[in-house]
Amino acid sequence: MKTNRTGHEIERPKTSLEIDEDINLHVKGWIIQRVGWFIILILLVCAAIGLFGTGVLSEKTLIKEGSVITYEQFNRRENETHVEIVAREVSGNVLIHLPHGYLQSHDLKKITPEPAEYKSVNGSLLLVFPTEQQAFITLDIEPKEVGQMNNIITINQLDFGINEFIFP
Amino acid sequence: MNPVLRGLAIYLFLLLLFRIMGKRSLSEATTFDFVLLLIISEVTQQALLGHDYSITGAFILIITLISIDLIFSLIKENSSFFGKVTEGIPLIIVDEGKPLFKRMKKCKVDEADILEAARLNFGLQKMKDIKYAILEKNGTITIVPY
Repeated sequence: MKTNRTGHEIERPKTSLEIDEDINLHVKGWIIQRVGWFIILILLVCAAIGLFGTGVLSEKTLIKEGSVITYEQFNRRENETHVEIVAREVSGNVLIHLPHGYLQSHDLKKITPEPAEYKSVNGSLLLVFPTEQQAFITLDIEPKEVGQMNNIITINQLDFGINEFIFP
Repeated sequence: MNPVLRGLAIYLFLLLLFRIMGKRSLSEATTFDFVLLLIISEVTQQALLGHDYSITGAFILIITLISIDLIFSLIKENSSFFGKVTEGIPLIIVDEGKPLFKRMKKCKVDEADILEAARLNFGLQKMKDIKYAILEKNGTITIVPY
C-alpha cells in the first residue's frame, strides 16, 4: 500500500460516510492549538521563574542604611508568603510601621518574633521590637485583594516602597 | 472571589485547556493518566472552594457548574458552530484502508493506535481490513471494517 507522508496539504478524501467533518474548521483548530501550546509553554516558563509568585523574578530586596526588607513583588491571592526584615536598632528598639492600606489588603498571620508592643497610629500599625544591634523579623502575610498594590512600610523612620501585584 | 465567578473561571479555563491539549490528551487513560486526572481534580477542587467549606458554598458552586453546562448545551442546540468549537468534530483518519497521515499527525494518532482500536473492537489484524477509522469528538477511534 502506497501512502503519502509528505507535503503540507491536508488530505480531503471523498467518502460515503455520513459525517459532519468540517475539515477547514479542523485546520483552523490545529493552528489555534499550536498557538495555545506555545502560550502554555511561555506561561510555564514565566511561572517557573516566578512571574506569578515564588521565584527569582518575584523576590525583591530593598536595602536602605543597613536595613533590608525582602518580599514577593508578585503573589497570588490567599497564598501565604513572608516579608523578611533585617533592621538595626535605634535607641534599643526596631520600629516597624505597617500602613492602613497594607493591613486592609493583607492578612497578618504571624509575626516572628512577637513584638513587645503593638500600637495603632492613625489606622496604621506600629510594631516595637526591643533588640540589641540587629533584629531579624518575619511577617507571615496572606494577600486578600487582587491587583497592583503600592504601600510604604517604615522601618525606623526609613520608608520602603512595597510594590506588589497580586494575581487572583 | 465570588463562588459563581470562581466556578465560571475554572469551567472556562478547563474547557479551553482541554480543547488546546487536543482530543487524545486524556482519552487513552493509562494508569498514570488516571492518577494525573485525580491530581487535576484535587487542584481544581481547592481552587473552586478556597477557604469556603460551607454547604451553601458547595450548593452555589454545583449550581454554577451545572448551569454553565446547561447554558452551553442550549447554545449548542441553536448553533452547530458553537458545538463544533467547544466539543470538537469527528475526523476521518483512515479512508478505504489508507491511513491519512497528515491528519493523524495533527491529532497525535499513529498507526498503532488505529490497529489497537481495530483489534479491540473487531479483532482485525491489518490496516487494509479497515474501511474507515474515525477519531471521534471524545478522542476514541471508531473502526468501520470492510
